[in-house]
Amino acid sequence: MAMIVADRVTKTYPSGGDLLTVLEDIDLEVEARDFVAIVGPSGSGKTTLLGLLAGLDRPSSGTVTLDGVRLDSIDEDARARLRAEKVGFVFQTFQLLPTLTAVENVRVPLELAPGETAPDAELEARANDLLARVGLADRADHYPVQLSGGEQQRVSLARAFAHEPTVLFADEPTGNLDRQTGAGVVELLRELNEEARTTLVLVTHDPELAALADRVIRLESGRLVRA
Amino acid sequence: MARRELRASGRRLTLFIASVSVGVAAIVAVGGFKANVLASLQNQGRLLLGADLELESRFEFPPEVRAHLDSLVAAVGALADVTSLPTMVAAGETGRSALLTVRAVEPTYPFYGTVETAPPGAWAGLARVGGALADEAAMTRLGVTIGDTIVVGDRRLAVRGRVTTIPGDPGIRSAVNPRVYIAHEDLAATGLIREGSLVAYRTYVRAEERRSVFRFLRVHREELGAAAITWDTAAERERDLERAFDALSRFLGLVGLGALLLGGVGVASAMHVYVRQRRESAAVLRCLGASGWTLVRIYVLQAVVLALVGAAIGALLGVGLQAAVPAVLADVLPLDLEFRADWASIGTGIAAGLWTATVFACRTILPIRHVPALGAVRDAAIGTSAASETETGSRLAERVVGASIIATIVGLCIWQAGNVPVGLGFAVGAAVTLAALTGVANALVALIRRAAPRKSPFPVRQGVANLFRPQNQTRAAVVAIGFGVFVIGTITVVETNVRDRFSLAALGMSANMAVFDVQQDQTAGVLALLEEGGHPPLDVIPIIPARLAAVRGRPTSELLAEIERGRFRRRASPPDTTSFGPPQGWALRREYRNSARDTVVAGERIVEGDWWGAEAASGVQVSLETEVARALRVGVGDTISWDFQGRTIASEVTSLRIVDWARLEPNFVAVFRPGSLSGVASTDLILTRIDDPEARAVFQDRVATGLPGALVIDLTSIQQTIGRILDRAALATRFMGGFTLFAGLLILAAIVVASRALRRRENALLRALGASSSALRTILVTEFLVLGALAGLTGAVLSAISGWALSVWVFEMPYRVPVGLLLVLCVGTAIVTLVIGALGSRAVVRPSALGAIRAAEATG
Repeated sequence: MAMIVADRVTKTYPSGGDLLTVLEDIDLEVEARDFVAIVGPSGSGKTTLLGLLAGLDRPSSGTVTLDGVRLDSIDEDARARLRAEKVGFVFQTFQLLPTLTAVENVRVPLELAPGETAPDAELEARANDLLARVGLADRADHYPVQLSGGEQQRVSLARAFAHEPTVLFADEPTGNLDRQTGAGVVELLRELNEEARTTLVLVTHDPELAALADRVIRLESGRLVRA
Repeated sequence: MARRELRASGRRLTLFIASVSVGVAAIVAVGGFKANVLASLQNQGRLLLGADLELESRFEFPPEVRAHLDSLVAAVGALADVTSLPTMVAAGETGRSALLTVRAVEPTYPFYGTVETAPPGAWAGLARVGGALADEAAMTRLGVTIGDTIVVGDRRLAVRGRVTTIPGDPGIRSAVNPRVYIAHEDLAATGLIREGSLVAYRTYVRAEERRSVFRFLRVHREELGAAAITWDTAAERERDLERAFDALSRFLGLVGLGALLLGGVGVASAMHVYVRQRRESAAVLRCLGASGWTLVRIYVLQAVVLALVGAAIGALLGVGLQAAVPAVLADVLPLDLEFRADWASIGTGIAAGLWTATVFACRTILPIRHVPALGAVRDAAIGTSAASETETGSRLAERVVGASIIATIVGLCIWQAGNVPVGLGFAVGAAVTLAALTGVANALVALIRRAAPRKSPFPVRQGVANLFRPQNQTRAAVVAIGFGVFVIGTITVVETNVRDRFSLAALGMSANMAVFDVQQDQTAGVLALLEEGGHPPLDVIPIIPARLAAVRGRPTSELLAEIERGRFRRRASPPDTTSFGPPQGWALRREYRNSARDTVVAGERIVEGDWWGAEAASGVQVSLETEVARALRVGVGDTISWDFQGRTIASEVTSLRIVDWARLEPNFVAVFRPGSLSGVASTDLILTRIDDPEARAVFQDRVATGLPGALVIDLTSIQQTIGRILDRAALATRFMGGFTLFAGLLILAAIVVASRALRRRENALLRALGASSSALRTILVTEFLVLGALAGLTGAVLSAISGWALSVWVFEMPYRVPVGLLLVLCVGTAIVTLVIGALGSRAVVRPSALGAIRAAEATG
């Protein structure tokens, strides 16, 4: 069974007195452990589609199924539980919590995971392992403001894989990084994804990054051009 | 341009306006109240006394003083006698009795103002038709109404009316000391004036010209002093009251100033947020050719307009508050306050608010002149370029504004304090308080960061961690709210300690009923009454009335004659500090109510000589209170002869005592060694404790009816009255304190608004990562509860310290920390902070998780 299924998904927003259609009749299936890149020009609806597939938002019509769960059939808190359990995110602007150190940021998904939280020492060990994996073992107690952009994105990668998600959504993960740093982050993302055998859905403008994907989905004006 | 910018800002600047309003309201209310009091004093000065001059003595005025008064009156006016004494008065029908003050008045009193009675005109009828008038408190205690009969001494008098107001006599005074008024000519027939009665003889003088009163006092000052006659003039009473109000209004003014300055900080916070929000518009304007200073002018102009609106609203609020003050303080004020809007206070309040708001706003507006035009093209440029340009550019403007803020604070302090030293003292005090608050806040914030439980659930840890966001305003919020808590806390701490001081226990009283003037043959009767009701007598204290016959071998009459001849006049100054001058007339003339006992009691301390031991001693030994000993110029080893109702007995002063007269526990100027005064007439003071109010009333009635002459005082009613006075005084001060807390909370609101965007982004991220609604709520609740608790704790800790300083050094009373009340204040502050935080964060508690990636998209 496919990991992600989008069935005739449409998303509209009120704009003035009218409705603005951002996505229209999107049909899509992503198999488990696939690496899918969503590409398209600005305003084509890439991020909106990513948000709908991850359960961050609800479609105006149509359905999204994630790992067998129809997202429109559950409320926001249930979707949050589902994300805490099965979904990982990497954002363009890293989105680390400024009040937490690197290791504490990596721990956040572990602490939000449903069910009983593992012992503190276990969480700490797991977070530290992941930081070591992304090459930041010596930066564990640094706050985000004390880290460079590339380092912040690597912490973000560690956080994304911390709770061993089934699906990873990445939104322009290299968009705020210079070319060299971005390449390093992409390499790391690929390695981690291969190790964890996670389904990866990635939004990008970067053709080189898209070329690494198993499949590329192209959006134009809210419509699927090639899947 | 400024108007168009402002039009787009809408509700975002409500906090700015509110911050100005709260400070201006406080300043206008206090200034207006003060002006009203001063105006009322001018109009009603003579009403405070009901006359131009009041003379008072425990004894009938000597004939020569009468002669002087008659000549004064013949020349310039009129006089009226009022004779007062405390006595048990009973209701004719029910027999219910109470200790009241009977005032026998001549019909011409008071010369100024009108005594209001129900029915009207009853006061004028008192001399004509006889009978009695009573105030509300007296009628309540006796349970009588108009038309009933009361028994005053040997006379039964009809109650012809109720006295509702009497010039210069605030309601609270009659609550302490309820009064019955009778015609002066009826006094003799009551038989109340007899040896040992505590009579106050007062004569009121009306003088067409005030100068004649001053001349009279100047000429006869010595003579009046020697005759133990004290005086009060309408002018002095006005001055005293003016001084008292001046101190009160200065205190309230300074507290109001605290609110205004905190309002200034609120303005700065609100403006800071606003300016940050407008940086993009500013960048666009720069792109279109506006200079940095044009931007500053646009925003300063907006600040001035907003400050004007805030100040106008504040002035309206202040006038409303000022109108409410007379109603709150009606029972405490000795004069009728006429409410009138005081334009000077309104004008100065608005000007102070406008200026303060503008200079504080300028501080946060100035950096906008460095916003680069590039910001319109590239958002990131706004933050970086501004800093670098500020570093390289001139900081003169910032320095000028900084100096203006300091000058404003000092200037306002001096203005409110009324003089330079006190104003500077307040400014320094405010700086020290601020430094102390900051110190305590820093310590507590550091402590919470360290001590935050690592094992607690993630939302709780995250809530605490939120207090330490980059560029967080946690310390500012803790100090701002903490200042308000500090002001209210200090008032609460001092008030609690004053209340403690006047509790029966602190006053050394386990008793709550005192029976005075019990004749020796009545003592057994009172004890029997007590035993019958199951109330054990706690103490029976002999009271031995006496006058002085001779001091150090010289007869009192001779000493008084010398004083009158003025032989000692030159050496008598200053009379209180030397033991070589002549004895003072009042100490020689007064009647002493002495006692005898074998132990030193609580509330007194031997400072010279020795208390008598158990061994037998010959002769009569006496221990004197230090003040009287100084007035009589006697010390240990000197001899004093006493006149015990005709029997003269010499005594040796063996010790001197300092007595704390503030205690309710009875104490005496002269205490004799027990057994050394056999056969001398005395009465007893019997103390007891009766907890049931009904039983107290029954006991009071039975003493009044069965034991003529004995006076019963219910000490609990005195305590309740003190409590009522404190309630009123505390209400006014705490209300002003509330302003500072409110101003602090406005600053919190500004800070919450400032961090809203960041908060929304954090919550969206947490939502995306799988945080539930309840987790987000817990984070929010934890953050604001901890913030409020820190602010509450900061203010409480400092108020405990300042309360201690005030109690020990100003009020000179024992001190305890009212831990429970301060805890309530902390919890209350935490809850109010939470409510404000929650209201300000409504929009961020339920963020769209999509915001986490939308934020990324927006900046990409």
